[in-house]
Amino acid sequence: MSFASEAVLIAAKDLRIEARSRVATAQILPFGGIVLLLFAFALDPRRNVLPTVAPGLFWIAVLLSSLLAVSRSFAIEADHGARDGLRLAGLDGGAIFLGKAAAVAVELLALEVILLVGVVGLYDVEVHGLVVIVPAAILATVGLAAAGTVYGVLAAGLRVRETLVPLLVLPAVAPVLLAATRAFELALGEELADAWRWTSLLGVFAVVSSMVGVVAFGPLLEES
Amino acid sequence: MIERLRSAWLGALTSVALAATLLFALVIAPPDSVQGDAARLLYLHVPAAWLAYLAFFVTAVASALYLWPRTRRPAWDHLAGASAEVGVICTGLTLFVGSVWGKPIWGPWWEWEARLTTTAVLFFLYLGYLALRRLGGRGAERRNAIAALIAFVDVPIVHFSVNWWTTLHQEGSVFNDRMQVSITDPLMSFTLWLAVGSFTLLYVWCCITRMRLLELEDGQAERDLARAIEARVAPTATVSA
Amino acid sequence: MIAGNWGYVAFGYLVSAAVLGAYCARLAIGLRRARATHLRLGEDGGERRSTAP
Repeated sequence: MSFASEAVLIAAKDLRIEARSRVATAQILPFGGIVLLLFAFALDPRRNVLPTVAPGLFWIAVLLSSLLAVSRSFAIEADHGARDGLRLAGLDGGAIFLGKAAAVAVELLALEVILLVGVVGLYDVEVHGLVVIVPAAILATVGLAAAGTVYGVLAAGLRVRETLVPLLVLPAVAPVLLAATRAFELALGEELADAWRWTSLLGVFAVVSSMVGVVAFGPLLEES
Repeated sequence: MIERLRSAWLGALTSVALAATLLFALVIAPPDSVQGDAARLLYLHVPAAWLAYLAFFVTAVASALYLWPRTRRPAWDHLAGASAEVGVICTGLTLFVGSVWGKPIWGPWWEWEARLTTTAVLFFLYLGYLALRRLGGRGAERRNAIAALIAFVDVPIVHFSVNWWTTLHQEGSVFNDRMQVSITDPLMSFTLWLAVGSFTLLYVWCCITRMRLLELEDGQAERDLARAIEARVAPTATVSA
Repeated sequence: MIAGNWGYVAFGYLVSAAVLGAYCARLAIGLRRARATHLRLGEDGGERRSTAP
């Protein structure tokens, strides 16, 4: 079996599990929604700050949800020796990584579409510069999913995984939050040239974290 | 015994160097022409920041050497852990001293200045690494080494993005200029070099001591395991005899 | 202003000294304690790691 088809196999497996268990739709999605609502409570909508800070709030909501998605991605293999099965299946470590990261990225992208609708509706944001917003969101999501998956396997099998993963992931993806927020802000303000610069930074992060994951995932899975 | 003696000498040398640094930094060096005595925090801030970056660099190199099969030795893992611990303490001190220095110069305790912000992210990045190290378990050394390398790859990206953020869309350069102390006085530059040197000695002493401690702890764990096995095996042995 | 600055300097130096001092003291005490256990339990004088039988 080729590298690509192994990756597709793993991604399809994870997505099928999510489609049947409905944890992503029944738990992670509502979580993102309530976070958006809470931001509105914290920053009173009547003070009119919400439209200006909406990009940052959106990405924080995505970031927090991505922690749940990553935990979930490794929780489905925690029981019944499923991780041993994955280890022994003879698949390439890099392909397993790409498959799992792709599954997380697909879930996050679906979540982002819904959250984006929520932000536009709840925070009274006018959407401009979709040409940049879409690629920026995709690259940021790939970066988040890749970095999250690397740290997820690092902590998989540890007893303190739930508390350790956020501490490991959040500082590592701080550049993604920074760059994605700036890219969105600039795109909404129609400063497309500067928005593209931040988008390119997101691209660099996505590529670097994917490469790190392809190399490191196999050995980390062995030790988990 | 020889090793202990050498460590004691190093400890004594470090203490003397640190005492000399204090004397120069607080008494002998002249106050800065612009910032006055507040600039004396420079002799703490710069060496702490330098050590933090040196320590994380050493952690990355030691982790790489551990992962390379030909150079795999427990000592590299110990060095990586010891260095990261000193690095996190120094990062914390850099943030603290930078903030205390910033208060009289900038006004607020914290400015979103590029170097301070990068250091703050690094602080949390390596706190996570230390938390991971504390867990141990099967294959922990290899896992920790990979984690250290991943964290190290992230450092330039964090630095670059924060730098861009603070200089591109705010008047970031102002912060940098205000933090800058122009060192023209030879006594000031000597004090700074002395401080960097004595802090580096302190780093070496801390690393050596921490490595030795980790080594002894490892031996302790092995002995505990051996004794536990003996205790399990012993009753059956007497029965069969 | 100048007296105030000295206050910040003293604060910075005192806290840094306390943190570094506490860390070094912990290392030194920990090492002494570990060596003592090692000498008591190990057969090889505490210079090399004892190996399981």
